Amino acid sequence: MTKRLLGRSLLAAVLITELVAGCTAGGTSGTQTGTTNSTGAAPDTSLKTALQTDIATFDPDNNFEVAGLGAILAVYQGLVAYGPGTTKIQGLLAKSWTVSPDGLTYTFTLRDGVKFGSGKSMTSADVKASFERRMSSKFVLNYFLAGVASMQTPAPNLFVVKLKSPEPGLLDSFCSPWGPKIVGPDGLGTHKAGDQSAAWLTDHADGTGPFLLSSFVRGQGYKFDRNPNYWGEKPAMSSVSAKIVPDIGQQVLQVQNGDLDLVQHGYPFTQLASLPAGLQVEAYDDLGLEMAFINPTRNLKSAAQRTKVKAGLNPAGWINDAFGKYATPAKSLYPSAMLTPAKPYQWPTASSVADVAVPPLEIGYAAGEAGVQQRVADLLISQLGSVGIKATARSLSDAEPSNFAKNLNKAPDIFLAQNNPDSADPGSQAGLFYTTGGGLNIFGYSNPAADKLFATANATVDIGKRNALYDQGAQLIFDDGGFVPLADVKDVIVHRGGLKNFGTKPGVPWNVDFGTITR
Amino acid sequence: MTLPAGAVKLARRPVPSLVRSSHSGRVRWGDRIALGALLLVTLLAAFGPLLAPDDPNARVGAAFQAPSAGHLFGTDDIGRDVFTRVLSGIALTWLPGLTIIAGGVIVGGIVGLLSGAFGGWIDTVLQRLTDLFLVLPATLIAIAVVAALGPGLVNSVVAVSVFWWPWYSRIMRGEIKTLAARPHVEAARLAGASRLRLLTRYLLPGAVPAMVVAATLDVANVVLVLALFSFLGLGAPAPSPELGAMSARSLESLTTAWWLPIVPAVVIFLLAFAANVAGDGVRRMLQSV
Amino acid sequence: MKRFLLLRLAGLVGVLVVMTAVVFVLRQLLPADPARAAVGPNAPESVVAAKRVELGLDQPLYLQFGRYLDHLFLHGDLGQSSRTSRPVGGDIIGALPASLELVVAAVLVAIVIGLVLALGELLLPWAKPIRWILLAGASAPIFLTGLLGLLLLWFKWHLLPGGGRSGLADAPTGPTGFLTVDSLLAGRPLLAWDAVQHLALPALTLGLPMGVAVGRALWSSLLGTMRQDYVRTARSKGLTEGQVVRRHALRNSAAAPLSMAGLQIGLILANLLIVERIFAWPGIGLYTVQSLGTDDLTAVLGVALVTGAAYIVINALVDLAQAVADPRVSL
Repeated sequence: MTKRLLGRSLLAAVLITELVAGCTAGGTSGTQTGTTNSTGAAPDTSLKTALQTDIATFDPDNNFEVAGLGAILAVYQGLVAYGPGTTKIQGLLAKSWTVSPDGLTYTFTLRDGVKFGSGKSMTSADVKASFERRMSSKFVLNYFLAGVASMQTPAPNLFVVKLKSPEPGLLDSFCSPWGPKIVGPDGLGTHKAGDQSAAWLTDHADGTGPFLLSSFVRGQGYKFDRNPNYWGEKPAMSSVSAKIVPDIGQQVLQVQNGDLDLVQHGYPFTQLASLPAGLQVEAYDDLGLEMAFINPTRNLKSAAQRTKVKAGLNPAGWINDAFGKYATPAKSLYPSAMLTPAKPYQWPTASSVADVAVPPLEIGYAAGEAGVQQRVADLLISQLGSVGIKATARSLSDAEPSNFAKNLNKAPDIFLAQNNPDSADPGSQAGLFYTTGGGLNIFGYSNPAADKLFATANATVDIGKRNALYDQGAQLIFDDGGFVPLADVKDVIVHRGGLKNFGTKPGVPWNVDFGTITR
Repeated sequence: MTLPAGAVKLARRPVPSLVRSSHSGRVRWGDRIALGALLLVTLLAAFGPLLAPDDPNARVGAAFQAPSAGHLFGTDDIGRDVFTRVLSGIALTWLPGLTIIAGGVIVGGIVGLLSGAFGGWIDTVLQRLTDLFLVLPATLIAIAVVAALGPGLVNSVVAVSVFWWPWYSRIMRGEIKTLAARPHVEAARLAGASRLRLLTRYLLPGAVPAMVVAATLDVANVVLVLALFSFLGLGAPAPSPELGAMSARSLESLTTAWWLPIVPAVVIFLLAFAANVAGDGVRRMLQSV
Repeated sequence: MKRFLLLRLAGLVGVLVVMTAVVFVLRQLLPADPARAAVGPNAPESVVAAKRVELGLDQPLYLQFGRYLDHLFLHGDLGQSSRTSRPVGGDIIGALPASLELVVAAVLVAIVIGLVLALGELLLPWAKPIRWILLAGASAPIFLTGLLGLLLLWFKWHLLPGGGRSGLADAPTGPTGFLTVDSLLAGRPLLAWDAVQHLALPALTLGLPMGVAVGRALWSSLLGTMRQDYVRTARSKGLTEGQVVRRHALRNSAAAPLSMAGLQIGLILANLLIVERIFAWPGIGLYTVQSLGTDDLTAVLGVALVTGAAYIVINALVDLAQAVADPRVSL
């Protein structure tokens, strides 16, 4: 992920930059831009970063990827959001809200003076139109609002949502980086074109955020300029550029060489201990728990076999080699930023399962995460070998895991991943992974006792009681060896030039906040 | 599908027909050494893993150690011995390469033989088929094939093999056609030799030298193509020590531990270089230029 | 000539149909579900099912193939990429200029390398070691040359940049898509120079194997030509060896190196994947590598079809060039 920001408010500054880039090898132009500053030109308020993958679509109702989230959140905003560094819910475009005692009616009071990039003011009608668009079956993120029964706009600054049944996790899902965003009247009206603006909003934007999407060149990169109509504090950066650099090795070279200001995600953990001078590390927690999914159908049918594998996976033995100081052994099947277990998980010892036979295993991981997972897999193969289990590993296409269930006997025995749930609500984690039929319960694991506890939790409004139930259900699953939590891994940003105030949040993995970042 | 003859050219280095060459040429020592190197690499591929100091998948020390007497090529990102892994990796590149060539020689040889010996509609059909394979962008399609079948060494070998035989078919057919027109074959035919006898006694033995030269010259090509597949992640699964994959996976260490991506790539280079030099040697010996 | 062009055109269509069929069959073997890939891992099954219907994946195979062929040949539609959610044709058109610019530069580099190596070995008595350079060049895996270029020329010595097409963010994006040309059209010579510098390292890496192969073919072809009678006649007229080569031999030796160049285009297209990945060059190679990583076979097939067609067209043009260069070659 690379965003490249180059101030072009001053023609002179551009010319100087070009001169410098032209006179020296282009590879050092970033550094040279910095030199320009010290000689008295305007301070460099551009930020250059990179993305590992294209932003498939900039449409906030269709984009489910992680890589470009920071860019989308710099342009679009929701009603509420998690506060910096926390999973506490704060107002964003809504300054306050109330929830009816039955948990069915949410009333949001909108912030005054909010304008879209086009200059038009935001009213509750825009919010309603955006929510209606999100609910259309055309858009893949429509499930966020599947429980909405009706919406009203009693006043230009009041927006009311009525639910079909109570959803204690609703506000969390609104805070999700993939949650509903407010799209302006230009985006929804002017460019409607019979497809609810789906085509136009793919590579254009109309949001309320601190930046405007000023250039979207597929396969090459994106550029964002400060939104002159932004309602909040003016961002320090006048522009952000993000070019596509799929290979993390290339990103590493470019940030070391000064062609990039920061690598937002994926900088190899192995190299953090010996960074060249001028590079700094910023680490923060996210909700992506490093986890091993266990296939209970192929080679690990018995609980005893799964216990033996669990002993071989124990993170205490390899976590330091994999992540250095940037990870801690997982405490539970929930990321630590989401939930703390009532009692610590019990890891089996290798000697207690020495006489259980386990056939050679296959470990899989998604190609998109190969940078981290192939090392973890290599380490696990080594450690599994020490308890007498042979294993191989291979990367799988990112879409393959969702098809495992069709033929579990051909699926790998263990799948490694750091998946990001939609929000910081434990229900989103349990529902996605651990519940029978969950969207990312890729091996079709089923534990009726745990399902029961989760079902009760989903209907419980009291947060403490809810979390206790989610915790108990996960304990059962861990003891049975259905899922094995491995590590709470920090997200790491590597940057140069003394960048500060990254505005990172556990619920927004892999991405910095362009609006808060300063130099 | 019909393509004019001009549409199809030799896919790799041209091998002149050897039909007219005598086999009494002076053999250079340099070529013998090159041939010896080829044999040595094959032996290394077959038995190298036995000579390796460590288990290729075991962690033997701290990660990222620079090359030293203890670890000739250093250690990798999780502390495995790179020298051991490279030794094992040679087998994973070389032996599949030889397999692909053997397959190409056999399949292409048979197709070319039938085509050249029978002529007529058999020739037309087989040569149009060969043309089709020769005009396809072979490597790209093979990549798509492996991607669809799922990455793996076997799938890579199969996919490459599918596109590797047509060249041999062309050479074999050309040799057979040339040989068939020669006086002593003509004479044998007039004397009433059976078609089978003509084939086994005159045509096939005459075509062998050209096929041998083509195959030797081809080893380097196939090694490089397999390395390309491995680099793209289409080869054997981890922790298998494939040379191309080792290089690709440590790209990010280029500035901090340059030997991790560079050493496996250099070893591939040496394999291909040995094969190329030996190929030239074989050509000279059999062609006696 | 007309017959040649017609045959070639028929061949092109035939090969495309075969390729389409091959990859369409392969697509059925894929472990991944394109519908799931299109809507993301967190979406519920109902959304996936709706997508499946939208993509026509619920229909029988022959209908899907018919639909694919219909879209391809009647509408030039290569299908929709599951990774970018956009038409593959559009994606390829977007990425093509960057690759074309690189390939053109690489071919120029290759011609220079090929001429220098062949003529050097032929004319300069002290240049016999060039044979070893040729052999070494033909033996280096493309990622070795790429990595060494990155490490030494970019990172250690800072002679050339090694990532992307330009160090500057506000590069023009049209009208030709060739950054070097567009910069000049926009009146920004410094940016054009920057673009040329960024082009240098990947073009060298990509052009080297082709240059070596062409050089070898040209050299052995020249060797044969130099034994011909008319060359002897030319020599006896008192021309220097260089003049003989320039005026007589080169033109008559062009056929073999030209067909080698045509064939090497196929290799360049494959090597493009690796070079664009190593140098972060935003063209179709990078597009293919990214598509491979996400099992976006529709996109990989689209690239294979387009580059396959280009490959066949280029080789037809090479045959034409041979006829022009050497009148003895008939079509």
